[in-house]
Amino acid sequence: MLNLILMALRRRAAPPGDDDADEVLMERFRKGDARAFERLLERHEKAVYNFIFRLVRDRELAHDLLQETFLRVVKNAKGYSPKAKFTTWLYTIARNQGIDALRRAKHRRHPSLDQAQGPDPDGRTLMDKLPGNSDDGFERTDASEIRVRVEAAIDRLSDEQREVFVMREFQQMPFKDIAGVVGVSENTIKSRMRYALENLRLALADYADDLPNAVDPVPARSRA
Amino acid sequence: MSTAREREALEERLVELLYDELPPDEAEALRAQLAEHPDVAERLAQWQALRRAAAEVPELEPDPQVHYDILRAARLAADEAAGEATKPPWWAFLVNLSFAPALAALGLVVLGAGMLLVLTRTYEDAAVPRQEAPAAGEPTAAQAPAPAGGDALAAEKAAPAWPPRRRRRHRVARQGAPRRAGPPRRSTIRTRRRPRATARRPTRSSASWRASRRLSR
Repeated sequence: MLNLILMALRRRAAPPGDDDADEVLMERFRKGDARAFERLLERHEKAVYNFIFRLVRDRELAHDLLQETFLRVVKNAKGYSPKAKFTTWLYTIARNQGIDALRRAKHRRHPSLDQAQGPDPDGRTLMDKLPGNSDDGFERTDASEIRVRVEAAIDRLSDEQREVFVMREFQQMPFKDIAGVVGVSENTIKSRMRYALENLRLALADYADDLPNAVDPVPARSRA
Repeated sequence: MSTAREREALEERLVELLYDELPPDEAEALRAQLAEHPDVAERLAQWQALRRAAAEVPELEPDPQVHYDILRAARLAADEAAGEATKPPWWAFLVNLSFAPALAALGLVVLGAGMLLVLTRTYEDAAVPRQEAPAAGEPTAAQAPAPAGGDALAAEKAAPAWPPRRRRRHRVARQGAPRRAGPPRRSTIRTRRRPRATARRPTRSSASWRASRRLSR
């Protein structure tokens, strides 16, 4: 009788709130609360998808890996320890998925100069992105042009530098957490980040004058 | 020399300054040092511009179908986990001991009814007469006519022996005698005593005593 009352109370528990920590939501999901997982998915799905896409640079593959990542979270929920930070665990799974996919696809990836780059299949080709291809050399570079150049420069980073740059810049993860995901020291992460920033700076040197002014400190991105 | 070391330390911490991962006082001290190294300050400014440009890179939206597929799997797993959570633990029987008084009362009722039944049958057995009176004119074994001649004792001996008691036969069977073929033997354990239909036969000793008396006459 007592068990029945406890079951009823548990089922009537308050829905997960927006302020609940990831670890709390994960604990609730482990106990059978599907709404808690739904909240986690809403919170991280987009960011994880973009992280994976930046790693593998293929939309369909990124979708598959996103699904596989969260299915692994579901499958391994029992083994999750609340002491570990959820995002560290989540991005470790996503990164491993991405690395495995890159290894599988490495031997067959030969990007063509005519192949569309970026999320849009009808977008600009790699040939379009190469600097100095304008007719007169004095073509004015607008904001979308800069964006495309930045994306191409990020894609040309090494896998190690790119993953660190994406996690810090787009996912807003502190260096300490990135070190936990990648499994190296924090200083190594900072060193990779310095190289990534330098490589991007050199790749976009031709557009330095067109880049937004950086007089004020960089505001935090609104992405979560 | 000290300037070179300062510059190296400054460059190492530039990334932390860029991403605002330094405590406020350390960040302030680092900014003060940047005034002495304009080239490093220029690099920081370029990195900041790079960040502004990267902020313009659009985020992609995942396919909603993937969202639904993940949710479906999660709901199945959650239902399973909820089922396991509500499964009674091994000590749940202790909780069920609250039903023990009712079970004990039921047991007592069953026991009482059983005892009542046994006592009733015993009383019925006791009420039935064990020996029926012989019918009129029918001679009893004691009054049976003795065989003619004086060898009554020999005739007594030649007469078929009284069938041994069942218990004795049972003992013999248990001592290793071969089982006879045919239908299974009825159990020798008598659960209910039936009243004898005929008069009890006299024992062997009393018959021989009566025969010897007749001879002495």
